[in-house]
Amino acid sequence: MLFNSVHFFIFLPVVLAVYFLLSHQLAKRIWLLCASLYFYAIFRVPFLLLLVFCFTFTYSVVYWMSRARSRPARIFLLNLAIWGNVSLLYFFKYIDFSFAVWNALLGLAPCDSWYAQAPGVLLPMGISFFVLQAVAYSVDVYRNEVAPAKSFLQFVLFKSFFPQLVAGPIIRAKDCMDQFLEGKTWNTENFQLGLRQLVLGFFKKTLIADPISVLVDPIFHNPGAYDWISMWIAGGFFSLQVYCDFAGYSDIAIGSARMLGYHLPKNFDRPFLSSTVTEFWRRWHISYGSWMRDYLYIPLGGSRVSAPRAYFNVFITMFVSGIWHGADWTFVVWGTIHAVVMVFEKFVLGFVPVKNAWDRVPRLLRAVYPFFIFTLSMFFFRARTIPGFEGGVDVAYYMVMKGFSFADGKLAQVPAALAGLVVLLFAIESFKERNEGAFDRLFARPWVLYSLSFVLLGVCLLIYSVTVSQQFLYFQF
Amino acid sequence: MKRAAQIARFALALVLVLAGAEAALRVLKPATLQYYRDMKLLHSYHPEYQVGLAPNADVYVKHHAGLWEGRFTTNSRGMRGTGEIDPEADYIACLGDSLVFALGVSDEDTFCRRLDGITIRGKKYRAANFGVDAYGSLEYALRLEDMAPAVPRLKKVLLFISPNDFSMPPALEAQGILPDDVIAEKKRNNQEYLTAFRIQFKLTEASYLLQAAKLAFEQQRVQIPANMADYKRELVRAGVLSPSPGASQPEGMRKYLGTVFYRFPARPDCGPVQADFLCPEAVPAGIECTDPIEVERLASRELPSVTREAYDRMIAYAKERKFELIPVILPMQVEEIHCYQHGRSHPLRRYALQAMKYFAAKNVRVIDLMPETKQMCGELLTDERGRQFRSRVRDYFIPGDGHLTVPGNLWTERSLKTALEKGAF
Repeated sequence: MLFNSVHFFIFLPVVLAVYFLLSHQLAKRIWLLCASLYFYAIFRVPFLLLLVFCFTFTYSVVYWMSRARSRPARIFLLNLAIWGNVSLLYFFKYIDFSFAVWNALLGLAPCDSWYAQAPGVLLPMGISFFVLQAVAYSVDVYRNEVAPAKSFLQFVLFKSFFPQLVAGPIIRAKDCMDQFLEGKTWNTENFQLGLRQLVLGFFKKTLIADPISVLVDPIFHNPGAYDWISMWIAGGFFSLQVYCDFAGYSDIAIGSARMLGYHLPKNFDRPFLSSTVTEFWRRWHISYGSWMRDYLYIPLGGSRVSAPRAYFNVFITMFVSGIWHGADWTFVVWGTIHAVVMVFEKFVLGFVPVKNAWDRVPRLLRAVYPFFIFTLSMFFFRARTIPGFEGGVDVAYYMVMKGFSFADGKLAQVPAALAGLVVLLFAIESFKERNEGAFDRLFARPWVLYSLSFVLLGVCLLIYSVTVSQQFLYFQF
Repeated sequence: MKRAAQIARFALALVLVLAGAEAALRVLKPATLQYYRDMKLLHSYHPEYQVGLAPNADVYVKHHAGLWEGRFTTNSRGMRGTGEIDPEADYIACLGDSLVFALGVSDEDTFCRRLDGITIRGKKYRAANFGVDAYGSLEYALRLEDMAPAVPRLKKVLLFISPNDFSMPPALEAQGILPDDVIAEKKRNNQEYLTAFRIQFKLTEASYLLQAAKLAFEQQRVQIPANMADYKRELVRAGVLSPSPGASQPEGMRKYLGTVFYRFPARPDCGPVQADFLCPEAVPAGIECTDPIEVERLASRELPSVTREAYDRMIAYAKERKFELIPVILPMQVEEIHCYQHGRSHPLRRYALQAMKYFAAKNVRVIDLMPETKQMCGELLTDERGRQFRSRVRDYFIPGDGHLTVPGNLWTERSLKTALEKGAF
């Protein structure tokens, strides 16, 4: 089920109402589980089988692992849990791309003898997220950082909890699993704080991200018709679109969970205020970045190794990040850009005088650099094959080169209302950061919160009712 | 007292919320809703035929799904892309529904506007567009009687018969979608309906919020049953539910699970390479052509009474006002075009044969542009990226929409000019 749909606007109040009307703890949790499974089944019912298989498999293997006495057995079962889940992800997400890589490496065209025809496997929603969650659980139990789930119900609720199921935040067992041991009771503060965040999420997604796509899609679809300034408009606004889309989704997820009384971790922390790309990845999709750090970067040795090995670890981590985001050459390039830049930063900022000089640059100016790099990389993140180009990478390269070429063409028109909303959003986030108390006091007044909520949610509902919603960008993962 | 204060606070909050939502919509202009708002404001209420075009309008409309965009202007009488009527000039008018109104293209690209200045047998004519979207035969007649007096030297009226005036493809008929003339018949003597229509038109014209709410309600009325039908189809396919009588047997759960995770991309065609572009193009899969005789047989059915009444009314009016009424069959359904290009016919052509037969019996000459559709193949066109390519039928109609593209309007202009010149109209 999409958050930005009429269905969700009916689903959430019904789930909330029944959840808090039920008094029995077990009944509450079973209701929540049924609602979560229904939420996922709406996308495509058979994929529910995949989800059920994933958490049954993970729970069983980790259960045996936690009871295994010998180290080799524990290692074997850990590997079974990890690679079993990764195999699922590989099959559903990367098998078609593997065929494309085979054909590309051998230079095969569609009618050649050894050309491999991809089977066209459909990508189940959220598989990239719930597989990472399963791997994290398995490793945490192995490392004794968290006890295994006390019951199957607790585990499946933790895994399938609908706000975070399809696009995160990627919740860790050690932080969140205990919340699912019992049902929650009504708490007005939780409801109001959750509603506030939910409304902010819909604002970002529906009133900023979706209108931006109307602006940038024609440019990516036909870059040859536009001038060089339009290339930067497309790249810059697409960066904002991804932020508003994904951060908006996270806000809706965190807000919905909070309304039910569950606390999910923050997923974005003003990433465009970062001074370096490295810092950017500590503020952007925080749950994912910390997952990569804890389960890939640190096991590879992190930075507690020789300098060349540390650079290699950074590179591999970001390269894998690129591939995780999508099974296409564009994401390989996107990940490589970030990998190269982060290695470069690690090297250059390793020199104390350089770091000191960089820290003395005003913060807003320092923020331009990572935003610029992010924008450059987003050409590759967004570009898709269009007629007249060899592929998405070719389109992105063309657009970047055009951006530096001062070439003529149509100038994309940025609607004033959209520009105003972007400014408003950053003003709100800045105000919130500097005056959290005042912000909380303002929205502590129920009439302010509920009036604004009704207006914004009402407008969003009208938009969703009239036409098919724009899918969240991160759903492709 | 306390209760009264509470009620007052609640009422105030409600007013603020509604006003806030109205303001938010007008300022933010969400793309998905703005298309409908722009189209709404392009129209105005008419006491006789309910909806006309607003006078002196000038709106740039972008389709909500990005299918098309263009400028729509109207003159002081609410005629699209026409300019003020020159009382000294001879006019040829285009009358019809969205086909003639030309949804999908800017004013200057509409075929009617491009007929402006046409010379027929040495006589020059200006062109006026009487078309309004969503019209049927009765509305054509009423619109003609309303607009014609504003054109003192009206000499010819091209009446474009639309496929959904009095017939509907079986698939749509099964969903309960009625032809325009059947709907017109139901509502014309229904005073209650007409009053309610006027009230809702005015309210939704004044309030963006009310218009959006009405659209939302109507869309969900269609969408919810469609979604339920999709879920039911999946359950039937999986063998969980029984299929309808006469439907093909479902795959069964095992086969369903074995195929549901794949989309089975089309295999590349490794057969002999076609060296040249061939005309006519092959009939696309899913289109089943039939013998012309079979379609003639289907066309023997009488036109609905409301359609006959409207046609008779227009014929009589033309005689009274001394202009020539020229019905035009402008093929809009790709099925009939593809089949015609291969010397066959299609059941959807039925409406055209029925109309032509009726007008023939009234001694009214009809222009049938079907023979001209042979040009919808191999024409050299230029795409939005400036690359040239050979045209196919689909290039003349907006995909997912069905109205004429710019090349489609140009084709219509050329075909009409040829037909008018050849036919000695």
